[in-house]
Amino acid sequence: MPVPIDLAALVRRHQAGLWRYLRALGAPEDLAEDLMQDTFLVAMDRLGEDRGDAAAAAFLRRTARHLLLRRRRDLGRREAILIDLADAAWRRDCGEDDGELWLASLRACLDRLEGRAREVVQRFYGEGQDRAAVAAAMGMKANGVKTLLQRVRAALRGCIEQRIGGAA
Amino acid sequence: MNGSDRHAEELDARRLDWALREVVGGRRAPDVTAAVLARAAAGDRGVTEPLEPHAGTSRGRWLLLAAVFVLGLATAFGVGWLRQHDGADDRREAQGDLVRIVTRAAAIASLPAASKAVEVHNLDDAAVAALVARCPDLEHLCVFASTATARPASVGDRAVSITDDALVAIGSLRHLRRLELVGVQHVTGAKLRELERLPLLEHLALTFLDLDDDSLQVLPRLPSLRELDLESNQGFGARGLEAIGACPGLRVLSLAGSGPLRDDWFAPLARLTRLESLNLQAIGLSRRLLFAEGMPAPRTPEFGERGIGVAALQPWPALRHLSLANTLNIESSVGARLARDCPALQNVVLDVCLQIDDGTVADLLSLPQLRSLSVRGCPEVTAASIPRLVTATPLREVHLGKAPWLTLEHAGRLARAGKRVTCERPDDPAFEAALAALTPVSVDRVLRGRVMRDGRPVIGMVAALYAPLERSNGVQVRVTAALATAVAGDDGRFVLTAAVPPGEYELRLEDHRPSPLAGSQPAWVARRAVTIRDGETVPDLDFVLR
Repeated sequence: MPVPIDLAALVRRHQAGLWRYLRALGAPEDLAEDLMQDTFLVAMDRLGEDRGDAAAAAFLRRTARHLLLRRRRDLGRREAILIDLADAAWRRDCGEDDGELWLASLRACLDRLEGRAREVVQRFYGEGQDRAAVAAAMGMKANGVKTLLQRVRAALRGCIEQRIGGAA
Repeated sequence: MNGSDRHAEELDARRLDWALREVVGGRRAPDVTAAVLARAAAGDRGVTEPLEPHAGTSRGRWLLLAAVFVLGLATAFGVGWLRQHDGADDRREAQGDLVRIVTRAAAIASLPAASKAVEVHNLDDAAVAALVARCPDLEHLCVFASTATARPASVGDRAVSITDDALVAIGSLRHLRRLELVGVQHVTGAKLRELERLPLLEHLALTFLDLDDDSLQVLPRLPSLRELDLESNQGFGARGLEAIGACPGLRVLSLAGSGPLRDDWFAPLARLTRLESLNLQAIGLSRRLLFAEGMPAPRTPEFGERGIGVAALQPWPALRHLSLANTLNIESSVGARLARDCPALQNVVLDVCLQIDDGTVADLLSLPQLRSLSVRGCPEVTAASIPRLVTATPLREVHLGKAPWLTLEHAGRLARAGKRVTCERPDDPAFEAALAALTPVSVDRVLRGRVMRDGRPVIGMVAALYAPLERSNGVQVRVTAALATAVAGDDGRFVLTAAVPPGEYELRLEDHRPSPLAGSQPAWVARRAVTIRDGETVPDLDFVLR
C-alpha cells in the first residue's frame, strides 16, 4: 500500500542536500532558498507517494534544476549549458552523499594553503568581503585578487580530484 | 583560454562558492520547514505556470500546444479590442508595476477582480471588507490614514482609520505578500494574530501607530517574514524586541522613531544574523507630525529623551546598511563597535549624532567595504578627518552637512581621490557652486545589448534604465521615470548612455508600440538587474525573447 508523503520529514531530510546542489549549480543564496521552498511544494503535489530517499532526492534535484533553469532563462544558452554541466559534475562527485566526501577533501586541501592564498580565501569566502575590499586589505589591485582567486580555485580543484581519485 | 576551460573555471567558481562559504564561512542551509508547511497549508503548489515535463515532448503535445496558443492569441486580441483603458492597467499590474490607489469606497466595485496591488486612503473597515471580497487575490495591500504625514491641503482629505476588525478580512487574503498599515491609529493590535493566516507575507509595515508588546508576539509566527517596518511605533518595549529577535529570516528592519527603548532590551536582536539593512534612527524621539481629530493622541516621549547607545548594537555579520541618524547621545565609540561587530557595512548614516568625533570617523574608515558615510550635523567631526577620508580606498561618498570647517582645498583633495562630497551651505551659493564644479557627481555609463527572438533581431524595443523603487514616508513610490532610454536598431542592438552614480539599477525592455492589449501604454517585456561600478565596463545586456 503506498505510503503518503510526510512533507515535514521530506523537507528536514533533504533540505541541506538540496541547498548544496542549488548553490553548486550557481544559484545565489536568496534564490536557492526560494527554489528550495518551491521544489518541496512541487514534490508534495507531484511525488505522490513515498518511494524512498534515493528516489525522492533524484526527483527533488530534477525539479530544482528545472526551476532554476526557468528562473535564469533570460541569461541565455550559455547559462543553461553551465547548469547542465554543474548538474553532471554534482551527480558524478556529490550525488551519493550530498557532497560530504567532496567537502572532506576540500577541508584537507584547504589545510595545505599558505600565505596569500589562505588569506584571500579567508577574506573573500570566510568574511564575505568583496574583491575591492580584499584588494584594499591585501595591498593588491582588484584584478589581482580576481586572478589570485582563480588560481586558488584551480589549485583546490586539482587537489580535490587527486584526493578523490586516490580514495577511489 | 578555450570554451571548455572557461566552462571549467566557471563551474569551479560556482561549486567552490558554495563549498568555501560553508567550510570557511560557516554558512549553512536555511531551515525552510515552517515556510514550506505554511505555504502548503495555504494551497500553494510552488509554481504558478505549468512545469515542463522532464521527459521529451511528443509531436502530438506540440500540436496541441500550438493549437491552444493560436486559440489563446486570437482570444486575447479579441478581448483586447473590446477592452478600454483598464486593459492596459491590468497588464502592467500583472508585471508588478502598478499599485491602484483607492480614495472612495464607491470605487472599489469598479476595481478589476484580479487586482494584485491596492492602496486605500482614509477608508474604513467596511471598505476594506468590500475590497477583500472584490479582490481576493491581492498580493500587496497598503491601508493608509492621513495621520502619518501632513495632509495635502489642496486635497483636503479627512483622516479615517480602520480598526482591529479590518484585520479579520485582511487575514483571508491568502496570497498577500506585502501588507502596510500606515497611520491607522485606531488599530490597537488586538487582532494582529489574524496575520498568522498569511503564509506568504514577506513584508510587513506597521508604521505611525502604537502597538504594544502583546501585539508583536505574532511576528515569529509569520514564516515568510523578511522585511519589518515599525517606524514611529511607540507602544512596544522589551518583549516586543524579543519577538522581533525571534524572526531569524529578517533581512530588513526599521525601528526608526520608535521607542523609547533601552539598550539592554536589544540583546535578542543578535539572533538576526541575516539582517542586511537596519534603521535605528531617532529612537526615543517622536516623529509624528500630525494626529488628526478623533484619533488617539500618540505617545510622545520628550524631545531629547535619551535614545539608544552603543550597548544596543549587536554583532550583525551580514549588515550592509545602517542608519543611526538623530541618535543624539550615542557615544563616540560607535565607530569601533561597528568596525568590530558589523564588518560587512557599506553604508553608514550618523547624522546628528552629537558625540561622534574624528576618532569615530577613523574607526569607521577601517570597515573594509565602507562606501558611503554620512555625518551631517556632527559638530565634533572636523578637518582632522580629511586625510583619512582621502586615503580610505573603498569610500565613494561622504556627506558632511554644513561643516563650516570644510574648504574648497579639502573638497578638491577628496574629489581628486574619487570621493563624492556633499556640503550644504544655502547661505553661501558661491561655495556650493564651486563645490559642485569640483565634485565628480557622475560620469556617463554606457550599456550595450541586443534584443533577439528565434535567432533574429527584434527592432524597435526600448531599453530603459530605472533606479530601484524607493519609499517615502511609509508609502512606496510607484512607477518611476526612466533615467535613460535607447531604441533597438535594425540589428536589434541598443546603446544606452546614462549619467548615473555607481549602484544597483534595473534595465527594462519596453514595448512602446501601440497594441490592442496595451493601447498606447508602454509595457515592459523583460527586465534585468544591472550593477554599475566605477572603473568597470558593464557586460553586454542581451535579451532573448520567447
